[in-house]
Amino acid sequence: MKWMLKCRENTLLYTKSLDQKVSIIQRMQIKMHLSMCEVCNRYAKQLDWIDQAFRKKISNETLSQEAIDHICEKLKG
Amino acid sequence: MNQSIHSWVTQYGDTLYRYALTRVNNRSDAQDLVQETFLAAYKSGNFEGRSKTSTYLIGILRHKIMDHFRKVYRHKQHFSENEMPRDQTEDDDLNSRPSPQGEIFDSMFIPAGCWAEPVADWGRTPENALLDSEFNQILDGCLEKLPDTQRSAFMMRTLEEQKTEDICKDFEISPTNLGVLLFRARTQLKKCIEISWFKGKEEIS
Repeated sequence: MKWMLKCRENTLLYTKSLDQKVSIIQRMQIKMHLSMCEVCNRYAKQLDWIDQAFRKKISNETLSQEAIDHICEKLKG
Repeated sequence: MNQSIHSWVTQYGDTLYRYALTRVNNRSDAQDLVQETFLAAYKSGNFEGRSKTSTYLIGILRHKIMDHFRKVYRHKQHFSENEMPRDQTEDDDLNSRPSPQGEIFDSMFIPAGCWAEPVADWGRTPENALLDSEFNQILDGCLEKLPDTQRSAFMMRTLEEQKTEDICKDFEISPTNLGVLLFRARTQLKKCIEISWFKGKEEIS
């Protein structure tokens, strides 16, 4: 078990952690690497930021009042 | 009754609409699919009961989406074959080459495991950039440039209620392959945003 990951290993693990569960140990390995490596830290922050930006974007998408009314009309038949 | 229909549609409408949007990428199609979903749920009766749950409604919506794609691509599969990553096996050996993420990932690093090129500095990430309509257009533009599968998988990840396992089921792929799709999507988005936004700002200042 080694503690210090190389940048490549860290990035592979980090991108995986965005969508899948990783072990507690792996989480600690990532944290440790990111606290010491400026480049990987920058990369990780940029990916987080992109995810957040699009998350915000989709949460702003709502059905218009007209659309809701239209659906209700159809339902009432 | 009218009141309860209205609150039913209001309560679940947006969730269904966002889900549909991530798949069809077209507001009017998404709206139609939501309407069909509510209609089907309503006709099946019992809308006071189980049809109130969003899981049930999303289940119907998923079928509607499949029908939609069958209509649109009568002879074509929804996702083109070559867009899908080749079957990858789950491999936790972080040193294995090539990586499951594929060539794009591997080219980012030199054999010793260090970055091949420094990661571009975005400077201070504009906190309020998302309020900027110009920036929103750039995000839309970058998203449009992604292949359908990547765009769809990535946008589904942005939905809070969508778990990775559900997306794998929808796309009929393994978690590792979904990881590959998402990695490609994020890499391309990052590149596109850098070119369209951050570089542009640098030149201006």
